[in-house]
Amino acid sequence: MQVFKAFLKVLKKELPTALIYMGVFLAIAIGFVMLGRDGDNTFEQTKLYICIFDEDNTPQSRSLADFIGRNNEIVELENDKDVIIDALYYERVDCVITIKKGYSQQLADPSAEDLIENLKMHEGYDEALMDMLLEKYVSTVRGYSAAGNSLDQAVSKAEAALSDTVEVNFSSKEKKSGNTVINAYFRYLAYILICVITTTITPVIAIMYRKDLRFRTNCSGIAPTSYTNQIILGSAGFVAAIWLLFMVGGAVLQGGLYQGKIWLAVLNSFSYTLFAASLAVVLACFSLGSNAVNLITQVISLGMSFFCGVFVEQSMLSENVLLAARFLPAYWYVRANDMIFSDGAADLSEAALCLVMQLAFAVSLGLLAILINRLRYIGGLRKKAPTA
Amino acid sequence: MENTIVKISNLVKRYGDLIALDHLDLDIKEGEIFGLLGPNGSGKTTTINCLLSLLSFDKGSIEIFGKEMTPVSYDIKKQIGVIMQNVAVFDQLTVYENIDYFCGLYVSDKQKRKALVDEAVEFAKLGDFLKFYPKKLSGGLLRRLNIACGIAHKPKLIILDEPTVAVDPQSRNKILEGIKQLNSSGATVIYTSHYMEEVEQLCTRIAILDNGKKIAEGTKDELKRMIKNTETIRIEILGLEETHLKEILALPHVYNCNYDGSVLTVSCSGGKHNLIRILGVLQEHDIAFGRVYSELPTLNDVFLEITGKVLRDKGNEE
Repeated sequence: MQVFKAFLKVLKKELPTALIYMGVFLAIAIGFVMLGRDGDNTFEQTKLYICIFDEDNTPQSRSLADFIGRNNEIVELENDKDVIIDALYYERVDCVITIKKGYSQQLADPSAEDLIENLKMHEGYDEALMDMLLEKYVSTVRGYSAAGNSLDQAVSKAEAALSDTVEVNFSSKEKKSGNTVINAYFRYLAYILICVITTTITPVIAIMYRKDLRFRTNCSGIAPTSYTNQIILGSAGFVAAIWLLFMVGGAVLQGGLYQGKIWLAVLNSFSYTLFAASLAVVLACFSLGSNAVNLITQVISLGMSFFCGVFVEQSMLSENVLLAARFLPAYWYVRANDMIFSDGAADLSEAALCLVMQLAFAVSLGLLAILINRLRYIGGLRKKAPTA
Repeated sequence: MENTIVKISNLVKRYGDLIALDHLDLDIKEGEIFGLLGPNGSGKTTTINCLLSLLSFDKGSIEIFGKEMTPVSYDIKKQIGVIMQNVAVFDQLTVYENIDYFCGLYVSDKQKRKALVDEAVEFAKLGDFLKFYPKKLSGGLLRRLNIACGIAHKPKLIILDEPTVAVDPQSRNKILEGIKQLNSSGATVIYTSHYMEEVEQLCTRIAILDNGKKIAEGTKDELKRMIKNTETIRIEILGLEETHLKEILALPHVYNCNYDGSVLTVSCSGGKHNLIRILGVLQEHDIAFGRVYSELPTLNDVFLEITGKVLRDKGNEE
């Protein structure tokens, strides 16, 4: 097992790259989970910090102040110009609303203006919405008043009308189950698995098959098949370890052992891992340096991720893009993943199709690697004219 | 030097129309330092590659240790150490790990291997650099590491393919001393080079290759006896005339005479007093001369006389 041991020693030198990728990915996944716990898929209206000075101090003005306070945080301030400016400047309040004296008397008068003053430091989206709300409040009261209601009735009807809220839902073509975090985790594996496996394994295999080292090994008492088998063993061990680590990471994020159809996602990720491993072997055939391997890996992994629905859901991609993406393994991985994590029972025949497609890509790349090595061997023999 | 360690019979290797090895026969005896001498492209490396079964050949046979050598003759390969001109070590492993790795390809027993690796470290004087990575080593140390990796398993047959190419003179001498040491400890050595001085200094028997053919074989004395030239005399002279040259050429044992305007070169075949007779001619005509050299034939003279071309490839000299 001398070759296997040497493989592990060389691999040790390349391991920091893999650990960086895994660390960053797991950190992002954990962050994603933490954010997800604060009400994923829920909508909450923005609240402003508002100070209200009621100079009118009538039932109508108090009613307005109460209405504003219902959906915002009311901040008490001293009615002093410097205090108000400081509070606005240091953003202790978003706006300062002054209900001017005579508000209730002029509320029903359509020609009366400047009943309410709204002081603010920024002309932001929220502040503009507050201006609109105040304007709408006054105009609605006036509308009800003009319709023959008393001022109190007009105020209460206006408040009722303006208190109506719209239910907000996130739109998606896919029917998602509650496991959105673990779904995203498995989906992003399509990117990270390629990065970790190829950037680590490819340079190691390339080193082990360096021409001069192979020459020396071929002169020794070790059979070429034994040499290759030991490298395959080392590579398979590393790939399996990486896959297992990601599976354990997923289980930790989920908060327990995988259950039910999530095991299908585990199987799906395994078949994709096999594809990533065969991609690493093909790249190793070209004896590329670490920088070139990194570059090619990023192009392949990022390209496939954008094209096949890893970063952007497949439901958001156009039909033409998806049609082209079918020729890439990441498409089948994501398709299976989305199916597994959608509501309802898993479609086993579709899952099987996706797995078979990924395995077909893996086998094709494996055969391509064998072909490249064969051609290089034949080419090497032809070129091997005597040098000395 | 009794047993034949390597027997190459009628070996032919073709690359399309090019004949790299043309019916080559070699017998290498136990305990020899056998030199394969020849210019670039003469077939030295092809011979080594065929010997190690790294290349298939079209005709002939190779026997090592009395057994036919095939790509799967691992029992034979285990007794061979190979040191190529390129340093083939892992940059990711330390000096010790590299030697241990290559030794481990031949010796699986851990304790035995440790002793062998320690011995190789001692032999290559790498004790102070065990934890160094190859990139931190100087060129000379790298060559020593390369050799240590090739001989750590104590092979009976050591093949060195131009191990001193691109090596400084000091390191070259150390390498040559090391090869002698390995030979004196019982190893048979096959040494290829296009540096004739090295081969002359090191090898007990030499085969000269050219265009894939063995053009001569024997000890260096035997090779030198094969040629007409026994002495080359060089004299620094100014203003030598054609008539004087003719007179020198007419002297006994002189078979060639050449004057380039400053140095007179006279080739002699046999005879004991050639230099005195030539100097006598010069004194007779009152011709002043400077430094005088009398040289015995070199392997280069052997090669020159047999093939009509200069052995050393100036372009490859360091």
